[in-house]
Amino acid sequence: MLTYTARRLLQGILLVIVVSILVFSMLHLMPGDPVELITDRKVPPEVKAEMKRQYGLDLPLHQQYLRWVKNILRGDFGVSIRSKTSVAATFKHRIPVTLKLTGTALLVEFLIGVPLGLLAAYKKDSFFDRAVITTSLLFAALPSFWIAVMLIMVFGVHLRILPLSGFSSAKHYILPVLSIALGGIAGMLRMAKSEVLDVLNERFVFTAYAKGLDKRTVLVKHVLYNSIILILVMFFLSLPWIISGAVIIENIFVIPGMGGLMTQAIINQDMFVVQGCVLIISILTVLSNILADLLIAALDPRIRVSLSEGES
Amino acid sequence: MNEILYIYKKNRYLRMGTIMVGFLVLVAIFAHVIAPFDYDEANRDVRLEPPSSDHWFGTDEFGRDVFSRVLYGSRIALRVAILGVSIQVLIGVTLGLISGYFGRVTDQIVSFLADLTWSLPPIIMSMAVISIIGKGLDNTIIAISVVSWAQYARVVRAKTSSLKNMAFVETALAYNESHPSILFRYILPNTIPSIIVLVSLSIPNTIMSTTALSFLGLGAQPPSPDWGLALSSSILYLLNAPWLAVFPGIALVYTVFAFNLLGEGLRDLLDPRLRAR
Repeated sequence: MLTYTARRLLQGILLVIVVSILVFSMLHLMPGDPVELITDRKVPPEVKAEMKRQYGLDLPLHQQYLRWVKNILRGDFGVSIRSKTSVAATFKHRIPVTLKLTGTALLVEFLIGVPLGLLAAYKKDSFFDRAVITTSLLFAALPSFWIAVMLIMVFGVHLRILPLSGFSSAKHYILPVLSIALGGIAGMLRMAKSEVLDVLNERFVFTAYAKGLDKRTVLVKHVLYNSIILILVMFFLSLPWIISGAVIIENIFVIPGMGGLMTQAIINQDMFVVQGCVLIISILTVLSNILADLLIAALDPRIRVSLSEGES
Repeated sequence: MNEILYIYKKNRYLRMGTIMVGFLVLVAIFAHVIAPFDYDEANRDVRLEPPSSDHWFGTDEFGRDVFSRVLYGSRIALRVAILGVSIQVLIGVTLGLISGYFGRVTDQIVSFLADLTWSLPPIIMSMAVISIIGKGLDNTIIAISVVSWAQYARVVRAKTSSLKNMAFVETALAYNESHPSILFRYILPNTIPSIIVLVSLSIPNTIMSTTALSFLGLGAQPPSPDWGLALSSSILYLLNAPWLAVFPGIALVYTVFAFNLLGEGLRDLLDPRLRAR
C-alpha cells in the first residue's frame, strides 16, 4: 500500500509538472511577443526592453520556466493585465466560491443519484426502473446551460421566487446547483445501477445467501458496501466534468468563481489570469484523481491484494 | 439486403437514431430551401414577436426569423460533428495504431498523453487552447478536438496490440511487408468497427462542448445562427421572449439525443463487447 501510494503520488507530480510546462508555454505559443500583449502599442521600445528584462523574458526558456515555477510556489501568479491587481489575491476570493459550488453539486448528485440507482437495480425491469432510466437518458441529453436558462425562466423570471444571479445567500445556490447536478444525477444513477447489478451477481453475494443471512443483511452489508467503493471511484472521476460544468454555469448566474474569471480573462486576453486558472484547476483535478485511487485501494481488499501482488 | 432489414427490425435504437439523424442531415442540406427567411435577414418592424403563422418560432431582438435561424443552425452542428470528429479520429487513431504496434517507449508516451488529456476537464483545456489560437467557431472545434482524442487512442491501441500477434500479421512480416503497410492494410481495417462506434458516441459530446463554448462567447460569433450563441443572447429577453431560449435549445437537445441513439444502436450492432463498459 505504501509503495502504491508513493507511486501514485509520483505519477501525479509528473502529471502536474507536464501540465505546468504546457501552461508555461501558453504565453510563448501565443502569436506575438508577450510584452506586446501586456503593453500598449504606444509604449517606447526602450521601456519594452526594460520590461522584458524585468519579467526575465530575455533569459533562455528553461530558466524562465524555473523562475516562473519559483514565483508560483511562492504564491505569485503575476499581475492581471486588465485590472492591474495581483492574480493570487483574486484567486483567494474566487477558488472557495467554485469549490463550494462544485462540492454542493457533487453532494446533491450523490445523494439523489446513488439511492435511485440502487433502487433501480434492486427492482430491475420494474416500472420504477424503466421510468427512472428513461428520464435519466433524457436528462443526459440536456445541456446544463439550457437547463440553467430554463430554470431561470421558470423560477426566476416568471415565478420570481429565486434570485437570478449572485452568490450571497443559500437561495442563490439552488438554481446553479440544480443546473449542474440534474445532468450529473442522470449519469450517477445509471452508473450506480450497473455497479450494483455487477455486485449482485458476484459469488460472494451467493455465498452470503448460502450462509443463511437474511436479505437485508446481504443487501446492506455486502452489496451496498461493495457498490459504494465502485461508485466512489466514479464520483471522483466525474469531478473534472463537474468543474467543466461549473465554468459554464458560473457565467450564466454571474457567480464570482474561477469559471467566470477564466472566461473573461480569455476574452480580454489576460494571459496571467488564464495561466493561473488552468494550472489551479488542473492541480485540483489531479489531486482528486489521486485521492480517488488511494481511497479505492484503502477500501477494497481485492484491489489492495492485486496491487501488492503486482509490486512483487 | 434481408440481413440489413432484420437488423433494423431488431435494433430499435439504430432505427430511431438513423431516422432522427437522417432528418437532421436533410434539414441541414435543404435549410436554404425550407427556411422562409435568410438567417441574418433583420426586419425592424417585427422585433421580439411571439410565434405566429409568419414566424413559426417568433422573431429575435433584431427582427430575425427564429425558425430560419434554428434551421441554419443545424448546418453548424453538422460542421462541428464532421470537422471535430475527423480531427479526433486523425490524432487518436494514428497515435493508437503507433503505440499499440510499436509498444515500449512510444506506447508509454502516447498513453501518458492520453491519460493527461483524459483526466483534465475538457472545457478548461479547450479554453486554454482557445486563449492561444483565438476565438471563433473553427478554432473552438479544433480546441475541443485536440483534447478529446484519448478514447480513440486507447481503444485502437488495445485492438492493435492484440491484433499484431495474430497469424496474418506474422505472415505479412514473413513476406517482408513494411510496418506502415501492415498497419494500414491489415490492422487498421480490423479496428474500423470500433472506430465507427466511437465516432457516433463522440459526436454528441463534441457538439455539446462546442455549443457550450459558443454560449460563453468563445465560439461562433454573431450573426452566426449557432444554437449556443442564440441561447446566450436569449437570456436578456427571458421575460418577454421565452421562445428565443426554447427553440434553439430543443434543436440542440434533439441533435444530441439523435446521435446518442444512433451511437447506442451502432454499439449494439458492431461492438457488443464495448457495451459491457
